[in-house]
Amino acid sequence: MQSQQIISLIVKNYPGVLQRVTSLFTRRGFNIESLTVSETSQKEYSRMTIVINGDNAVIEQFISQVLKIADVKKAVLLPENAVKSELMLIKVSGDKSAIASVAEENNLTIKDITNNTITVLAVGTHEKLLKITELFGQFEILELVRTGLTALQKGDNFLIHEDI
Amino acid sequence: MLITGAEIITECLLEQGVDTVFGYPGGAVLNIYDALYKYSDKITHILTAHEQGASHAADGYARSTGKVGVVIATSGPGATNLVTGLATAYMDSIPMVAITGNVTNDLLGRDSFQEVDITGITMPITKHNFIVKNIADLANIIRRAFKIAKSGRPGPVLIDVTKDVTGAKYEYTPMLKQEIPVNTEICSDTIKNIQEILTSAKRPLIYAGGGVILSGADKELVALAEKLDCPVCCSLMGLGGIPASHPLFIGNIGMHGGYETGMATAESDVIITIGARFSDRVAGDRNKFRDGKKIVQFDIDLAEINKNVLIDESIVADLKISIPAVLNGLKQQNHKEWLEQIKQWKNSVVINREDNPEAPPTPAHIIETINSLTSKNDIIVTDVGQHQMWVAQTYKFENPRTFLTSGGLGTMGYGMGAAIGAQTANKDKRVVLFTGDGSFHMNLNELVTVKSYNLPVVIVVMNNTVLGMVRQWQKLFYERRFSQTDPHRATDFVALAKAFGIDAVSIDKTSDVESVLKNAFEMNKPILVDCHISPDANVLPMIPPGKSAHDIITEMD
Ligand SMILES: Cc1ncc(C[n+]2csc(CCOP(=O)(O)OP(=O)(O)O)c2C)c(N)n1
Ligand SMILES: [Mg+2]
Repeated sequence: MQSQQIISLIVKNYPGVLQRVTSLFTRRGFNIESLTVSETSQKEYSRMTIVINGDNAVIEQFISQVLKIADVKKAVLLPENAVKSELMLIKVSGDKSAIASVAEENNLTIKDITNNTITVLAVGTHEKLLKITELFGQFEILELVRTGLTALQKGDNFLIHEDI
Repeated sequence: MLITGAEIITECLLEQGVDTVFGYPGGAVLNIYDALYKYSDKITHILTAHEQGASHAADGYARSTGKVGVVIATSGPGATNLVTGLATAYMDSIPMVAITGNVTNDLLGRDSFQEVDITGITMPITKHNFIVKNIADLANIIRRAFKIAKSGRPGPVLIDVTKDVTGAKYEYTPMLKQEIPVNTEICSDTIKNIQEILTSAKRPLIYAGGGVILSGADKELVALAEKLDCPVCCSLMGLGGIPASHPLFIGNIGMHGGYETGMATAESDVIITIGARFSDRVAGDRNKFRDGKKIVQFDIDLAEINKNVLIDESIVADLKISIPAVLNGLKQQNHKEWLEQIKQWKNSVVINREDNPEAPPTPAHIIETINSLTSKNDIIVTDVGQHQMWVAQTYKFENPRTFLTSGGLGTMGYGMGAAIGAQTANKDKRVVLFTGDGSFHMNLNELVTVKSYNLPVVIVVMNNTVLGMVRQWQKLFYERRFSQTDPHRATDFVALAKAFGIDAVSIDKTSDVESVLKNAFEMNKPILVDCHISPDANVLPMIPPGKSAHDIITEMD
């Protein structure tokens, strides 16, 4: 069945490792929705969160291919119930007080106000951000940017152990 | 010991047991070449005419010995000339280490003279690559490169070293070459499941590939086949993994396999895939390939499982461990009727071969004659095209590492370099290169290397005057519109070889074949044999691309 899945990678942290992972997407035709990278609590490792479209076979193939990259230490399919979040900045123009009240009703932070624009920060799941985008659609959306999803497993499960 | 980066490289090569490297000098590797000069009593450097030739030579060295092949090239064009050789090795999982020089650290990223981002360029065609910008990292990176090249599924690794690193001095501490630990744990349930599938099979077929040769599991393969009383066919890369004379060997699988192997593939109920990867040349229609059968796969690379064809049960480990694990406790099977059926398929196709004494010789006649003039340890190298397929179909490979051919990438021009590498590593064996007029034109510059090092390679040009394989496809699928495959070239290969200082003879008619080849093989020095064959000889049978054995073509003009 075709679906969206989240895969977390623990990779060695050095320039070039991102290129190794992304070149796999184009070379083997994986359909990637988003990718985020950052350092982890351990400086030697970075963590990538990849949202990928595909059926089980595609996901399985992706994980085994990505594990062949010498500097990829772990690749794990996150379970359905993982803690997920994404960040969005959206710049809108229109009736300022109406914009501000939409922001307030949805617990969003206003980051910048000028004569013509308001820039709002929203944090949440992908679905939530889509809903918020829709809400602001009644005004004029000038610009919008999302970070892509980040995620962690719930509870006592974590990927960075000493044994990497 | 305080030594230069270049000397650290040579010392680390010695740590790894390297005694031969192939390469070509240039500005960015001057320091390395200076060290090679100093170490010339310990490391032999073979200078080729072109870095591509050097890369194929390192590959041929590796394929024929199982050791890691080493190639050295300068920055910029030297490095880019390695690209085809690396991709060729990558596709066939050949262990190689390529060392390139680069400009100094302060010149990197400034489009300096002869600067290219070779690690960026080769990322998708190497198993891994490194750029060394700090001399403190150098020794360990070289050690790691060798380890990556030969561990698990082997492959080429590139190390790009900046010129200031090779020139600087640093403390070097020798380290013994470390054995690579092999994972010996195999889940007992998997073994049981596989044994069950294997013993319940009525019409089993083993499909063996290059993995058998890479892991040295040829004896294990034969033992499994005999225990299962199971016919074995090989992919191009698997030839030699079971002796061609073995009664259970039934030939090549795939596009240019025999009718009987095509039928056996289609009609089998269990396919046991060993170190092979269901390329489109084998599983023409990968969605239909598994129709009505179970597939079991033995491979060292997890990513090969379910990649092209869905697998019922698999065992991911070194074949030298996984095959004995499955053999253990397996009952002797008997498949007399199935083997009889395959024999009948074989006998149902009669290939007419007219050996008219005055006519040009048939490819099979030439190859069979050479087969009888060589011994089973001798090494056969090919280029790419019809001649490659004729050799694969006709020559009887009895031993692993005796057939060197570019399978995955299909690199025309591979043969000359590979033959040089193989002959350098195997002084006591005969090396025969079968090339085509088209392929030979691509890298015939390496005749100079054959001559310089007096390598007694027998170069057999299967000269059909055409780019035969492409022309055959034009006959079949493009209504004989021979676009750019009949180039009417005027090269006189005999005169050409002589200009390089290499003896040469030619064969024009069938009646010449035995006598000319016999003399050529007796000379024991570099020699070229220009064999004039018909431009219209075809490679048959053929399963058209994307089709299965039921669509096999056995006749064409
Ligand atoms: C570097 C490269 N370029 C193009 C091809 C496509 N190709 C495959 S076979 C072939 C013809 C080979 O001609 P020749 O070496 O004369 O062999 P023949 O088929 O005539 O035996 C060509 C052009 C290739 N495999 N490799
Ligand atoms: Mg030709």
